Amino acid sequence: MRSFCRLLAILVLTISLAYKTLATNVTFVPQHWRNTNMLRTIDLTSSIVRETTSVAAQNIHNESIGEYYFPIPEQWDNHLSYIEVRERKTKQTFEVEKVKINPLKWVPYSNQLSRQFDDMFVMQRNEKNEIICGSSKKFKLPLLHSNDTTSTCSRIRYYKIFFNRRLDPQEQIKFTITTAFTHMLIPYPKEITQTGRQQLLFQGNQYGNSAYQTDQQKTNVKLPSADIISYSQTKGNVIRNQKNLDYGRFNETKPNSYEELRIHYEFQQNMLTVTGLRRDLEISHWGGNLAVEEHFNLTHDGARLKGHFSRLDYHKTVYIHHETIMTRELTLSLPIHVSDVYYRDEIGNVSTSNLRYEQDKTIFDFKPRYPLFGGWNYTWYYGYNVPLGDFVRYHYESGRYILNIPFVNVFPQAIHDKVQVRIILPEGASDVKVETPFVIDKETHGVHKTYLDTIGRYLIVLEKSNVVNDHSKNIQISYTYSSLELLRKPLSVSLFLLGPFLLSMIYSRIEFSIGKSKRKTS
Amino acid sequence: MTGLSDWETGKPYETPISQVFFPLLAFLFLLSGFVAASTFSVIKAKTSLILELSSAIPASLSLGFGTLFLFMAVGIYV
Repeated sequence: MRSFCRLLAILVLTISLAYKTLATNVTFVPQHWRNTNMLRTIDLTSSIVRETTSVAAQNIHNESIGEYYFPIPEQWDNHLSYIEVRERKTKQTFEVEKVKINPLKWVPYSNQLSRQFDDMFVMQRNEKNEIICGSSKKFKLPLLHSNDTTSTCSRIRYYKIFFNRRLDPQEQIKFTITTAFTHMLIPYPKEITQTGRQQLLFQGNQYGNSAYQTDQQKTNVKLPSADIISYSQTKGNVIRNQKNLDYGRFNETKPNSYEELRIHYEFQQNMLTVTGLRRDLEISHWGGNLAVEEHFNLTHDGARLKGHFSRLDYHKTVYIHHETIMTRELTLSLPIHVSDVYYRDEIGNVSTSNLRYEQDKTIFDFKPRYPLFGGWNYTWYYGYNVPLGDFVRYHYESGRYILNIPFVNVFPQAIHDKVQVRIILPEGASDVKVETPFVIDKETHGVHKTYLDTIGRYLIVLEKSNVVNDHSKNIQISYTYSSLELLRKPLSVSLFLLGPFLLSMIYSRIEFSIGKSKRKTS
Repeated sequence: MTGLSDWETGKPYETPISQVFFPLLAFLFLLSGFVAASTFSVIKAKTSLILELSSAIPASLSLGFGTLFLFMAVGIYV
């Protein structure tokens, strides 16, 4: 009966539609929390903007809840590469989910009705307490959709954080949200000379991202050097300490409040972007070997080189090369016990490389064929062999093999636009399961044929975009492979080699002469 | 159980035959395969099928295994 009444009321609501009035500075989420303290640290020491927000939130609702909404503006959300929420004391990770919104515009017939729907809809209201937009939690109703981008609904994206427990009213919880954004820093000026100094522009918000009222908050910006050309002044305090900018204590800020934060500073390091990375992992059970091959398309995304490259200026200014953004050398960390490392590009083998073994890793220093200035590209591939026992283990109880390997092995400060990881399992592998600590954009299973194959090897392709160093975590792939499948390869080769023998046996038994064979009589 | 917990309690993979033996085994298998193939080539044609097969099948088997170990010894880990 109750559900029928609700349904009827919803129908009434949908009939009484009206166009919205423009609203400013409203919240989208139910105000169940209040941030007592918020400390935000923006790390600008590399080309990836890392924003860490420490929140102390208090439950101001009259019942226990375990969900918290975290807003990110749309322009920032498009560049979001990584988000992680951890409780401060226990370091436990909380689950984060992006909220899907169908923005719609309708004004309720009566405000009394709208209050009943608070637990069925997540709603946004304007000053007159009219509902501007919202999304239904349980029903998928044909409500009007809006393409109006001036609505604040569409400009802020929300992430829902699920705490591992429900918090009682007036209880506090302290947690940290770590986010990484790519392609947020703009070289300003866009072009510099060979020995020029690179300057970057950062545009953000002085206030932290919060969907709830915040009692007090502070923003601390870490810069790579003490050379700051300009930074936003504010009504409150700005304290400058060499490389840090403290945007001082803001009291009683409303949800989703915004004040421009604009910093123009010097950054004398390169900004590497790998536009495409293909990583091949090939497992061989006979040889006990894991072959890794990685293909890179690298772009130097710093301030572009103005004019042409001058060899004369390059040699005249040899002593200040370390202060410019020119990249001459790159470094990668490889696992221990690597062998047969090769480094090639389109032309052929590149000899400017160096490998040195350390206790816990192997350092691979290599130089591209030419130094990279802003806007220049370089494409290469390299590979190595690793003993299979380092990464694959056999689990006796389930009878399955498990591969535990980092998803990518990247430059620490580089941004990767598209990453494709291909894992090639031996012939006859079955029941394959892939487990990753983060979301993969696309996963496909197929067949790959190479040396001495009959039915083809099992191929898994994992694709992900916007990858940073935080994604170099381990992924696990488990598969079943019986030892009898090992015999498939030598037996298929033997069968193939039996062919000529059989052919000769048949050939010796076929009569090729025309007519009856003349027998010798004597 | 999750892949990671299974991996931590698992035993590192070991090949059925140790890697140091690959070149030696390749040589031995190929040699015996060559001898068997030569035996096949010298027997008189149209002798009994069983006799012919009895040298063809061991030849192809040892040549097959020999090729596999040759691939391993060279560095193409198939």
